[in-house]
Amino acid sequence: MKGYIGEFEELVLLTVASLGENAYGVSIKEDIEKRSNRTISIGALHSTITRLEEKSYLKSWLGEPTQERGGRRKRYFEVTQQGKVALHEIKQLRDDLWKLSKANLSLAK
Amino acid sequence: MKSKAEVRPPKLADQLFEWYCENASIEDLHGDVGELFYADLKEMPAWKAKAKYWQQVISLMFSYAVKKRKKKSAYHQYSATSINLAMIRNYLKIAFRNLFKQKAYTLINILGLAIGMTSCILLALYIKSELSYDKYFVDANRIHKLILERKYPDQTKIQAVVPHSFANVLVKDYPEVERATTICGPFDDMIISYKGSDKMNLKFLENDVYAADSNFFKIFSFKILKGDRKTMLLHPKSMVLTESTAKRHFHNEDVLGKLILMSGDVFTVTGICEDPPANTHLKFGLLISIQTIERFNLDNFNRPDIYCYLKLNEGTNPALLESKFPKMVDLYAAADFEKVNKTSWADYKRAGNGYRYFLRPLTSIYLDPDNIGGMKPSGNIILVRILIAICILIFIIACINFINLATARSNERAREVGVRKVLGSFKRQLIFQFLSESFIVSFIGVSLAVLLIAISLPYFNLLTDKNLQIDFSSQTFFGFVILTIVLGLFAGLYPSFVLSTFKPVNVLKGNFTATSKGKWIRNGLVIFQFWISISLVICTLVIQQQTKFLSQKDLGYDKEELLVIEGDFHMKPNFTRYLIGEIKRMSQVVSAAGSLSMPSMDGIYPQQYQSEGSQEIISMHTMEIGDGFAETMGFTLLDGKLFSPTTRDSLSIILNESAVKTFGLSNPIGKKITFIEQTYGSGERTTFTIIGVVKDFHYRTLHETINPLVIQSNEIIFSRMSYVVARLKPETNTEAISHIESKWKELAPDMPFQFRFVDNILEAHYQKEKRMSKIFTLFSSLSIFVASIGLFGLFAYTASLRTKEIGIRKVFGAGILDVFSLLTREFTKTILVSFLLAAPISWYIMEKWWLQGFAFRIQISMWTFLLPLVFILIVALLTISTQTIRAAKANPVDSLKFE
Repeated sequence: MKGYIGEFEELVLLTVASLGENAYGVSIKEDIEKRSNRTISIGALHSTITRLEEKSYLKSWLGEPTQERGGRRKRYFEVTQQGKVALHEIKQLRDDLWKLSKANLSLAK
Repeated sequence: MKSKAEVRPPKLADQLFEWYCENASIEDLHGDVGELFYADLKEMPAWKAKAKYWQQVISLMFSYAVKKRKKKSAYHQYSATSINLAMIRNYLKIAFRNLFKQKAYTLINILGLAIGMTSCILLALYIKSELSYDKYFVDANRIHKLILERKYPDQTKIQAVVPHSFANVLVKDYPEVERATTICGPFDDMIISYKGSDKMNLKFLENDVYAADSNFFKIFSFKILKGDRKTMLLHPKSMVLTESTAKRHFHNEDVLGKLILMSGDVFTVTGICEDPPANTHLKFGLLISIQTIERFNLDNFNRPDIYCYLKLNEGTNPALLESKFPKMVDLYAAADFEKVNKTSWADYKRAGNGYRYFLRPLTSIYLDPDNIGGMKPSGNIILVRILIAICILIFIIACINFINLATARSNERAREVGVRKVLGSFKRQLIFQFLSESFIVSFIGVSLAVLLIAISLPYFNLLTDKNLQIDFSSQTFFGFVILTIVLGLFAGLYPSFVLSTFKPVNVLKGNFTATSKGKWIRNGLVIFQFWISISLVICTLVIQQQTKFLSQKDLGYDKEELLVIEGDFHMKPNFTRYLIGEIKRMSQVVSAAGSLSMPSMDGIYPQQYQSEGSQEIISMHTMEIGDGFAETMGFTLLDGKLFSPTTRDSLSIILNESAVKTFGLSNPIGKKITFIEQTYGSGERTTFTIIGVVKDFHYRTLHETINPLVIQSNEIIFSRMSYVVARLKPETNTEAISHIESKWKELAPDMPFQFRFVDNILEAHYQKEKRMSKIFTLFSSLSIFVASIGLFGLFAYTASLRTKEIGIRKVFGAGILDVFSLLTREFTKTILVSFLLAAPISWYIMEKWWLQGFAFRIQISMWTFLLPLVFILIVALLTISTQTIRAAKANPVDSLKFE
C-alpha cells in the first residue's frame, strides 16, 4: 500500500466521489455532516483537502463566479486516478479483513 | 432592527481574514464561509450566525489550507513583495550609476548633507551635555534642593542659600524627608599647609573649599575612593579631598590620616572622593565637616547661610511637602526672628515681608533661570531650547537641498521611470529604488559627518568651553544608523513619490516638462532655507552687538589697567596698609587703595537703612571701602567729598545717585542716615552722616540695573581690607606686576601672590553671552553655507535648462548684463521674500525675548536687518555668479546648433 489514508481523509475522498460534479467546500462539509452526524469546521475540512491534493488524490479547478457567493468562485474537487486506486486499496484491505473475521464480528448474540 | 436580508458577514472578520492571508488566493475559501453564513442565517438569529462566521474564519486561519496557499503565494510571479536580492542589487547598481553620472550634483548633495549633519550632531552633543546635569546620581529624581524666596514689600528675591537649622527640622518633622544635607561655602583663598615628605612645611592656596555634613555623601552618590562614606564627615575637623586635590598635594602617597592645617585648625584627612564630574552643578575641591564651624551648632532659622538638599522617600509628592512649609516657617522662624529684631513676626509679615521656601528637583537646578545652583555658573534653558530648534532647522535645510536637486532633475529620470513602468514595474518598486539612492547619499553623508566631527570636536570644545566626547560604542553606532535612515527617508521620500507617479504615456511621448507645481514647491523650500538662514544671521548680529555693548559699556569707573590683589590679609590691616604704601611708591603705579568690597566681585551686601525723619526701613546694597579707593577706581564725585586719610570717616557715608533718589533727599550732604544692623541680628542702630554723592556706577553685572548703594568707610570695622587695587600706568603691566610681586614676597613670604585684572574679571561675567554669540556665529554661517550649496546646485541646473533660451536671446541682441539679470532676477526675488519673512520673526525673538534679560541693552537698528540682507544677497549672487557668467558668455552657436 502506497500512502496511508486516514479515516477522515477516506470520508472526504468518498464524499467528493459521491457528489460528482458538485463537490466543493460547502457541499462536501454538509454532506459529511449529514451522513456522519457530526459537525466539522470548514478549516479542518480544507486542511484535509489540501493534504489530499498534496498526495495527488484530489485535483481541483475554479468554477465560474456566481451571484449567490458575491461573485466569489467555487473550487471544485474531483478524485484523481491515484485517489481511486488508494480508495480501492483500502477497500480491498478492509474486505479481506472482514472476510477473515466474519464469524467473530457477527452481531448475533 | 435590520431585516435578515440586509445582514452581512462581520466586516472585521473579513478584514482580519484578508489581512492574515496577505496575497494568497483564498477566493474559494472566502466564498465557502460566506455561503455557510447565509445558510446559517436562515436557521438562526443574526448574532449566532455572525459568531459562527467568526468561528469558521478563525478555523480557516489556523488551517493547513491557508498556510499552504500563503507559502505558495510567496513564489508567485505577481507576488508584490519586491524585496528580493536581485532587485536590490539592481537598485543599488542603478543608484551608483546615477550618482557617478552626475558627479557635481552628487558632491553637492553629499557635502550639504555632511556639513548639515556635522552641525546637527555637534549641536546634539552640546544639548545632550547641557541636559545631562546631575542625572548621574543614584535616585537623582528623589533629591531636591530647598530654595528660599525672600519677600520684601517692593520685591522678591530667589536665594539658593537657606538658614541651616531647617535641614534638621525637615527630617525630624516630616516623615517624607528621608534625609537632608547642608553645604556651606565656597571658602576661597584658603591657605592649607602640611608637612611634606622632607618634613618641610608646605603651603598652598585652595579654592572651592566647602563645609558639608555627614549626610552629603549619603545623598550624593559620588564614588568614594578611600575612607568610609558614612562617617568621613561626621566628626569636627575632618577633611575629605577630591581625587585631583589629593593627587596635586600628595601625589600617590596614602593621605588618610594626614594632618592639614587650615585657617588655624588642624584637620585630619578622612577620605578621598572622585572629582565631581563636569555635568553636575556641584563643584568642590575640598570638603570639611560642617560641625567644625561653631555657628552651625547653634539654631538659625532666619539668616540664609547654607545650601540644603533633601532626599525624599519614594513616591513623595514634592508639591504636597512644599505646602506644609509656611507652617514650618511660622513655627520655627518667628520666635527666632522676634528675639533678634525686636519686632513682631506678624507685623513683619503684614508689611509684605516673608520667607517662602520651595523645592527644586536636583536635575533641574543647572538650567534653572534663577541661578539656584550657586556653585557654578548656571546653564541657560533658553539657549538650550534655541539650539534644539537650530539643530532641527539645519537638519531640514540639509534635507531640502537633496529634495530640491532631486525634483529639479526629475525630467532626466522621467524617461527611465516611463520605461520601467512599461516593463511592469510597480510604483512601490520605483519608490524603493529612489529611496535606495537617497539612502546611499545619506549613508555617505553621515559617514563623512562622523569624520568631520572627529576632526572638529576639539575646536568645538574650545569654543563652547566643554569637554564633549563621542564614544564609538554600539549605541553611538546605532544612533548613526538611525540618523542615516531618518535622513534618507526625510530627504528621499518626497522626490521618490514625485518621480514614481509619472505617467509612462506622457513621459515616453516626449512632451514631459517639469510641472509648475514642482517649481513652486522648490521655490517654497528655498525660501524656507533662506528664511531660516537670514533669521539666524540677524539674531547672531544682535547677539554680537549686545555682547560688544556689554564689554564696552561705561561702568561708571575705569576698568582698564586696574589690578586687584586678593589674599588672606583680611585680618591684617596694618600689613595691608603698609603694602599699599609700598605699591603707591612704585613708578609704574598711579594710585593704590584697599577695600572690603569690590565692584562686580564680592563684598557688597544689602543692609537696612532708615533716613532721618522717615519711618520706612529701606534695604540697600552696601560697600565698605578704604581711603583713596573711590579715587583709584575712578568713581565720579558729584557732590561733597570722599573718604580721606586725614579725616575720621567711621560715621560718614557716601551715597550713589540712586540712593539719594530712593531716600528722597534734595540736598543730601550733611543729612543723617540710620543703619540697622541685621547681618548678625543685633538690631543695633548707628547713625551716619552723608558726606558725598557719587555718580551711579555698575557694581554688579550689566544684567542688573544700578540699585541704590551706600558706601561706608572701612574705618568702622578696624580699617580691614580684603582687596587691594592698583591703577597702573599704561603699558607697564608686566613691569608693575613683577615689582609688586617681589614686594609681596618680601613682606609676606608664606602667602601666595594672587592678582587679577578687573577687565578680565568683567569679561568672565559675560562668558555666557560670549559663548552664545560664538555658537550662533558658527551655526548661522554653517546654515548659510549649506543653503548656498543647495542654491548653487539648483541654479546650475535651471541655468542649464535655459541654455537654448539664452542662445536665442543673445542672437536677438541681448548683452551679458541682460542675461545676467534675467537669470538672477528670480533668485533675488526668492531671497527678498525670505528676508521679509525672517525680519519680523528674528526681531520678535531678539527684542521681546532675549534682550529682555538685560537691564542695559542695545536698540536694534535698521542696519541689523539690512546688513544680513546685503550679505546674503552677495553670498547668493557669488554662489550663482560662476554659473550665470558661463551661461551669459556662452556662444549661442553652441547651444543652438542642434535642433
